[in-house]
Amino acid sequence: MDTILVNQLPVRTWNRLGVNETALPWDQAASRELEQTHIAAKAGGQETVRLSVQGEGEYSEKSVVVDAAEGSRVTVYEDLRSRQHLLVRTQMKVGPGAKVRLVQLLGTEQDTVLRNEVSGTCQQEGSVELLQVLLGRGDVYTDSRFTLKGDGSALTADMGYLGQARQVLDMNLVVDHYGKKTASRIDASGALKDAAKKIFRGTIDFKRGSSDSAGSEQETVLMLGEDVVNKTVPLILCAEENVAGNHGATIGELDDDTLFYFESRGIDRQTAENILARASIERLARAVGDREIEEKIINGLNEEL
Amino acid sequence: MAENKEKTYVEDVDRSVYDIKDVEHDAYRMEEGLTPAIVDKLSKEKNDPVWMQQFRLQALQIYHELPVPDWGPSIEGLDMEHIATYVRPNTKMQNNWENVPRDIKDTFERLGIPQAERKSLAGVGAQYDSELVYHNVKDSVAAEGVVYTDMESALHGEYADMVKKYFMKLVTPRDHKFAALHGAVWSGGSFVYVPKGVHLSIPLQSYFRLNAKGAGQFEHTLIIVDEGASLHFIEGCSAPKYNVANLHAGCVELYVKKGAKLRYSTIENWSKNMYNLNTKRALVEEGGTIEWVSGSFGSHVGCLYPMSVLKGDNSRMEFTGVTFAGAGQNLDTGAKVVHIGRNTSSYMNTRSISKSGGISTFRSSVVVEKGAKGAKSAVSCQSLMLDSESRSDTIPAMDIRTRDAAIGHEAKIGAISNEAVFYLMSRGMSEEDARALIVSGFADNVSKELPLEYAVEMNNLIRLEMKGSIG
Amino acid sequence: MKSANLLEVKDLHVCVEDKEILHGLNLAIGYDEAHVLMGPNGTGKSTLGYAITGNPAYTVTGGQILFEGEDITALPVNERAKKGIFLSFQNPLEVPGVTLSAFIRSALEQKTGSRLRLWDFKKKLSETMKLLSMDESYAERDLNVGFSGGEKKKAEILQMLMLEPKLAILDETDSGLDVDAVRTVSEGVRLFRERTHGSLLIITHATRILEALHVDAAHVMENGVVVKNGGAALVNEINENGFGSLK
Repeated sequence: MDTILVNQLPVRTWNRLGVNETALPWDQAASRELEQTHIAAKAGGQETVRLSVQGEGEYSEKSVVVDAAEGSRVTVYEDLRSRQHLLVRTQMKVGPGAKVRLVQLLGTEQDTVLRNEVSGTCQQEGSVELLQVLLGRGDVYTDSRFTLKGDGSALTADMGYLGQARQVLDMNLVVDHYGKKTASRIDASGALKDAAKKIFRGTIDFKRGSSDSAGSEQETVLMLGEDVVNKTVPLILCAEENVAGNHGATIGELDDDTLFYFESRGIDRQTAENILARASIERLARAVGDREIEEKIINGLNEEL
Repeated sequence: MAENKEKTYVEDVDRSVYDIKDVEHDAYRMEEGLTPAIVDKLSKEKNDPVWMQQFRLQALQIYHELPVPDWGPSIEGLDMEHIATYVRPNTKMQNNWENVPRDIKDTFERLGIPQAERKSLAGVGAQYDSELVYHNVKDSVAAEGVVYTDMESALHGEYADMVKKYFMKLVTPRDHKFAALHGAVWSGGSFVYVPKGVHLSIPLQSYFRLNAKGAGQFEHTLIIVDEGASLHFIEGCSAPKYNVANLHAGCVELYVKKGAKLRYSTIENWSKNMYNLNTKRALVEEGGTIEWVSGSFGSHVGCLYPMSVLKGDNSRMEFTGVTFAGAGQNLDTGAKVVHIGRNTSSYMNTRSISKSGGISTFRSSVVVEKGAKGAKSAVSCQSLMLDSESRSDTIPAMDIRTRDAAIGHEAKIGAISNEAVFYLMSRGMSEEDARALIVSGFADNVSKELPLEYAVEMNNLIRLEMKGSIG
Repeated sequence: MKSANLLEVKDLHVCVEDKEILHGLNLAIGYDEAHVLMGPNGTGKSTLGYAITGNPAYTVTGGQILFEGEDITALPVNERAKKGIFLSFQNPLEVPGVTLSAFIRSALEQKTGSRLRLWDFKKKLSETMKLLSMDESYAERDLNVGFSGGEKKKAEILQMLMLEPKLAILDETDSGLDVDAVRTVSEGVRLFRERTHGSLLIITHATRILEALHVDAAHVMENGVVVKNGGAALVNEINENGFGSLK
């Protein structure tokens, strides 16, 4: 059994905080490699692919490669709700003016680990839209890295989660702005119940030369359990003058004003908390715009609660 | 006062006032290097009580065990083996300004200390190369029972037990390598005790200065504000410029007792070859408040993260800071807070400016422990990039372990608004002045919290740094 | 036995952050009546609305609030709402993640104590939105997120029409609205009266919203107490002569 380091923060900080990276036991040697999936869209073409990966044997890994040629539109729905230890790597090459939409349902059974790695490089005017929903009862480690290489390329990333029991949700997202006029928008929202542990590291990195670019990051964490642990590490790195970057984070339980609003409509605190606990995930489910996935997510959510 | 020539290209801050190198007269110097023998010699020289002698040796041991941190700015340029750790000028501590030797007096005269004294500040402790040269506690302050003395005297006098009880208990040698170093070779610094219920209406201030080539500075400040009392302490420092690396590894320990209030203001204005690795920490009891006001302008490399431990219920922390990193500077600054008691609150408001290749990093840590119910924390950091040679990084972290907390964080980074520059220019201002004004305004979160002469010095610093920012 | 009055406020003292805002206020509203509450800014009109609704930030330090004869002074907010008290907020809060539709449905389910048939609910919601000239798409949008001022107020009135309270308190509902929006909101209020026969307490210092409404009583507040009571005529008197004319 090896110990690997995952979800590394691009710039280290105080080690005592335990956010620089995570050490995870993983039996690399025993890992079975599953067949690679290759998704390609030709120039100006359209592709929609549905994938369901569950893992085989105690440890397995799968690689998905997405190649979106110039001006193409690709949508990939990945249902990565596994029963065993599973690593899924999704790499995206986004050509000029191409749009790739990646929707991921991440989740695993209790006592198993799901590792999700996403990477994407965008050429000029290329864009990636990432939607990730984290459910299940097991631990999820997700690491997403994007390179906005071409001018005008963009990334939007929306993550929703509901942590329960003793679940660990360990997230890392890095966006490197290289091109001019590149844009990123990151939103991570969720709720934590019981003794769930969650860490979200979000990094927006404006490299020298990425002038007229903008990046924003927003995180909202609803703390609902007595023993929850939340770690939030929103980084902005900047080497370029003409950019605009901002991030915001709000962490806490149901605030007084929102509670009052619900109560003034006869909805008590417990019910309000339940509604809001589901809210981020339900919102993402609607945003997917696909009946099948929306149902999968809502059903998954209903099973949990 | 040297004339300030108009500059039309990017240049260092006009620091001619601060770069006076007095000829070193026969000041006693320790051999360079860090062995137990050196530390022993130092301890004997200072007439340390036995416990302190042992403490130093233990700290040295820890220093050799601990690794250099694997995060933060590089301190490769610092060669510890060659930095003399102790320099004492040949003059005894003085109580009255008139009795201080001429050339030492000149240095402080030029830095404006006597003026400050005349403006009826309560007392001034000025450090010159690791010893307190000038120490004057005003009658009225002494009469109120406020103790303001140098650390060495405090070790032996009537407060010896108090000092022993508190010394390096808040910042321990185990905390990090440079705290251990400090524990081994500390020298000089201030001890302040404000008795219960005493409210000092005038700020206490102290100055530091390094003069000898290659000297390090390790002053220790220990302040205890007893129940219901209040104090404003100002620390402002400067050092001349040398070719050899200079190190400042001081330590500040602040104890704020029940219902007490302490405001700790600092303008760090070290010359641009200094390594400023200062450790500051405050422990706040029930209902107490610590306010940090911090302006960081100097040093080649700086690592400054005043930390507040909100131990008591209803304790509070406020941190207001501005950091300006210019050419050749790597300033890694921020704040840390730990919420332990109930209904505690912390507020951080920081601004940072990067120019001419300077690197400015805001680094923070907000930890709310499980029992810290009702905790509130709000962090706001803004960064201004003045060109694309510089860097500005924001590295905040929050670790929250109770649901009963309201935590907010926001950060913004950007450039000077062209609309704002245009607006000011349309009212007759030159572009250079407009930018300087905007940057001064950006730093007003700190300048408005400082006594006037410090705010003026700060704005002057900014204006000088900004000159030549066009082209 | 049913009380003569729907709402009775007796000698009410209310504090906010240690400052007393209402100094012994008295007010009575009967069943199926429309009342107007006027007064200069800062006199405590909104405070009264919050106190009746039960906002915990407003502390009752003396007096009573009776609703249908029952003392509700110590009752929590959601219990009062279920009894039939509704407040249309002056600045409705944004609640990301919760759709307007889900919010209303949840409130209705709390009130009736049972799950609603989705189809029936959606039908009623759709009809009511049409009456308020509200685009259907708002139903699935996050509550008040990105809504204009006018749309937020309409969303409040929509909630009122769907929840059918016995007493609706409208806090400055017509402020900041353009002519069309005022007309729509007024229409909504009129419909509420016609269909539900619930009572209204309209807090306002402009009175455009009253133009289409029959007003049964008017009250003027000053310095945390009611200083004058009257009929609809009082509203006109204030409009013409200002508050100073009362002295």
